[in-house]
Amino acid sequence: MTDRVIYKNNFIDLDIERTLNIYSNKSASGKTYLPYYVQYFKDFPRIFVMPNELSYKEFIKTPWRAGDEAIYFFDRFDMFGNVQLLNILKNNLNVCCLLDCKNSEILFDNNVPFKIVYLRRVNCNYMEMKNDILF
Amino acid sequence: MLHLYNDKQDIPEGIEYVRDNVQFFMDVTYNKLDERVNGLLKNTDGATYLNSEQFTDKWGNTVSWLDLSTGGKTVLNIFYNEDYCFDTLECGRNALTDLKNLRQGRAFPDYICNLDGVDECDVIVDDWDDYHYTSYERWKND
Repeated sequence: MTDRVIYKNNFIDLDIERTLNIYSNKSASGKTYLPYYVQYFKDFPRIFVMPNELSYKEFIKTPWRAGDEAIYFFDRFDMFGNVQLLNILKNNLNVCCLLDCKNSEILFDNNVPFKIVYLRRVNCNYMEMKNDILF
Repeated sequence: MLHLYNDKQDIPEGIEYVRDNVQFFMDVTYNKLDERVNGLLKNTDGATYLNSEQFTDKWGNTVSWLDLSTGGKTVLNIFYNEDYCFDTLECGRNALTDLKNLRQGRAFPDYICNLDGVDECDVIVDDWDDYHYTSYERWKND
């Protein structure tokens, strides 16, 4: 196992031990803290976090910041995600996006070609990632 | 008992519907927290009340109430604010299990889970007496 994040062309490979705890359909699994955990590791790309409705709106207005090579993390996507945002993401598949969601059927309803990440918390200090990678 | 609503239109007049549970938790529920939270979030954060600002999580860590999971916040919103009906869109299946174990409050839509295998519940759907359930299995199979 390596403690690093590999950033490839069309997906993010989070090859991290001890840190991640995302799970698709469970509360309190730590999805929200993913961007903060990965910053403890070498070679991590910058992660821009969209934490609230205002930041979502700003992103839709000005989607990508020129020159930034980063991961975009959409916290509470179930709550703030919408078709307009999805269309932006679908048209920019070379950019890594983490969609923090549980029940969002919007992804399926709109045929979004993203993979969905499943990360499982083993315990508080040691976390294991499952092999399905998000994007 | 726990009131669940199949449709937003079924929420009684005078009961306000709340969609953004995080904001409501910060604005309202945060100021109501007390020892009654103990045991309410067994399947999610495992929170034990420490003080008005912090709880002890299931691993023994001291955590700010503001960092409670969204599902946990939703369950506590429902428990502490019976005059509101809360959307459970952002609840994972474990939070919906904690929801099943509540004995008060209102939530939309009418969906609960039973990851902990505790069949007992006290749920009424759409405030119809015919839809009052004390067994999860009965609710599920009805």
